[in-house]
Amino acid sequence: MSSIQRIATVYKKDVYWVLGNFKLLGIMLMPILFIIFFSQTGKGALFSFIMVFINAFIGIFSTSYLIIEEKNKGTLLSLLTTPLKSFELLLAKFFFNLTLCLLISLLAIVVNSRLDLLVSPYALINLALYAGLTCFVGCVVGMFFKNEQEMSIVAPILMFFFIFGDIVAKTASGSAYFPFFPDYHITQVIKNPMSLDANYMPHTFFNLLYFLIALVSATLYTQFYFSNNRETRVSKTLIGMIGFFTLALMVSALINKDESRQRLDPQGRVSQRFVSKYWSGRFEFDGNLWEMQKILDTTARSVFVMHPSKQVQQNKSGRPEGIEMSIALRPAEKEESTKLKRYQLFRKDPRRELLSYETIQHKTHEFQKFIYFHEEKLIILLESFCSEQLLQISLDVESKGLTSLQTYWMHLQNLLDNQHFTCSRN
Amino acid sequence: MLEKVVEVQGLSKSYGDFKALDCLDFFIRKGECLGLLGSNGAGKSTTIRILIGQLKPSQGRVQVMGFDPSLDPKSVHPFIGYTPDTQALYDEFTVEQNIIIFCELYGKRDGLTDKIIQQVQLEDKRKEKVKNLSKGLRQRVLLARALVHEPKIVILDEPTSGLDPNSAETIYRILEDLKNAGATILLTTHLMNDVDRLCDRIIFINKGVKVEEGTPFELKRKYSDDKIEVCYELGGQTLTESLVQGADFLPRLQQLEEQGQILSIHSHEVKLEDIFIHLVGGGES
Repeated sequence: MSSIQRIATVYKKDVYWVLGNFKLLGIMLMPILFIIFFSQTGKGALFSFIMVFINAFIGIFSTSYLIIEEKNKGTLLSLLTTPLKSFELLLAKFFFNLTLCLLISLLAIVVNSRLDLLVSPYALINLALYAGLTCFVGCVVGMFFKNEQEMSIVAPILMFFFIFGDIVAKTASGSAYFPFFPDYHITQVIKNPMSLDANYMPHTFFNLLYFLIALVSATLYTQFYFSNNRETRVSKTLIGMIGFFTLALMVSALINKDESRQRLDPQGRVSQRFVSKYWSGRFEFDGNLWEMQKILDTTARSVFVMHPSKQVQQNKSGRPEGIEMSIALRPAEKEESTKLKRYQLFRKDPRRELLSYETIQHKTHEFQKFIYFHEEKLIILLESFCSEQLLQISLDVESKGLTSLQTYWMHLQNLLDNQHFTCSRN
Repeated sequence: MLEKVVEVQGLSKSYGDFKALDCLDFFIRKGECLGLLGSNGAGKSTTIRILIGQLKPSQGRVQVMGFDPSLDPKSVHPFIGYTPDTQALYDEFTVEQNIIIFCELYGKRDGLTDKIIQQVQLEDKRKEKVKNLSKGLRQRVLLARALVHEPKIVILDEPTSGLDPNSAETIYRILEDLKNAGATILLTTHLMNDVDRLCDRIIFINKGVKVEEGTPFELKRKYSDDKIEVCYELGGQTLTESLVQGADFLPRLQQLEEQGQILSIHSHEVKLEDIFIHLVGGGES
């Protein structure tokens, strides 16, 4: 009998077991309630949060619960007195929970009318990698803890890092010890594809890397856990783990030596350096001269440029209402191919209704001008490639009725067509 | 001499300073039923866990069908059918489903399930969910699960612990059938009557050390005190006197008969319980 057949047997057993055990079934399907409560969240950040939450919950909490339940029954060890190998058991549990993660994620996608995600390979790949990663973490947690009580304390803490890890990592990135913390990539990379932000595609590599690390770690831990010589190996494993983390922290501290004082994530650091060196902006709009104000937000990936003005009223949170301008600086690989990719992305993206595209020249810069609707907003985006950097200027127009939209449209057309803004290097 | 299917030499297992097993030696011959007896914590389950490869010994050598389970547990699993001391079953599954899972993991044909269910006399319960079964019936499901791959050695950890006499009787009848069919059985228990009936040989262990070994008959003879109880009536009173077999026995019996009326003469047979208490001291180790 092959490995695959044995894995399939345990997988099938788990399906029937969970279907027949209402307690387990309840825990496994609990995220469905969450989906129902937060249905029709649309395309905003809440949807990304739901997707991350669902997978963290099933992957970490449900997986570990399933393993602990079976461990306490004693059936786990009984299974291993058959030809079933420990890594086959791990894979069976992994695939079962991964299937559940993906099915419930699919439900969330359908309920929230986000079928466009199904045609976005990066979104799906990152979703699967993230779900797989959490499932492996859940397997290790399930084997590590003796009972549900112990697990119930630790699993939510882990879930917190897997849900809000990007915020934690960004906040803690000023510390010399935390830049190593990988959750920035794990969570951010799932959240961004959920918003179909193509600029984070290269970070899929990190998700793949963490997934592979989790796969190897979970396999090794499973073999260690079910080995017959655990007591003597425990000390070696502990020494190994302490050594590994010490080394990782040292490497991390070394890499981040120069920037340890800057409380910014890696991308933020690049943006900060670039903006403070080269960029300032000023433009005319609606008969007024607008000064761009650099705001370095430690929790933002890009550098936002705001424009305080007597005409702009501030809302409750103190942010100016009305037109918002942002500059994002991101590395461009090769100018021509990137230009083409950007155009294709805009054209194919079902969520972006591309109204017009053209190349315009402004002083020394050549801009790609995209005018499109996105999330009920009219966006005018100018992109330019210079010195291997992609420079973006975008104007978002909040939809406040047709009249307002038309008004803004007119002003923006005027602004762009007459090139009343200036972008200059310091 | 039948071949030895299990051979244990100088087996020790320590957890820090605590010695769970200390230099244990024994063997099991093919087709033999060996009883491993000891109080709770004596080291019975530890020995079994080493034999099935779940634990690695601190010292000593173990061979099961010529393989060392501590080095390669998977090499001995095809030969061993094991029932743990806990009722590790999927409660939500039927009897049949519980057995089929293990049949599939061993890559066995479907027809085997019927045979096994018949063997453990659960034909009328095959569609019943395990959670609705009594402890005795659950124990039979466990036994069935251990037999799905027709193992050469059946290892049972406390198979009748907590069962009512009827359920225990059924289990032992099944085990007798197995034994008659030529299976080698290793049994741990602290219920002596069943051992007396089923086991060819017995090993008593206490605090991880083997304290006695032999056939039930040999052990009973060895620990017999050769006493005969004589109950007689003298002066309207019923009295009992224990006499030791030997030169003085017949004259004393004659003397009692002359003094009064002998009511009964009983030989005092040593039971395995008595030997157990004598060797182990009756308390938990």
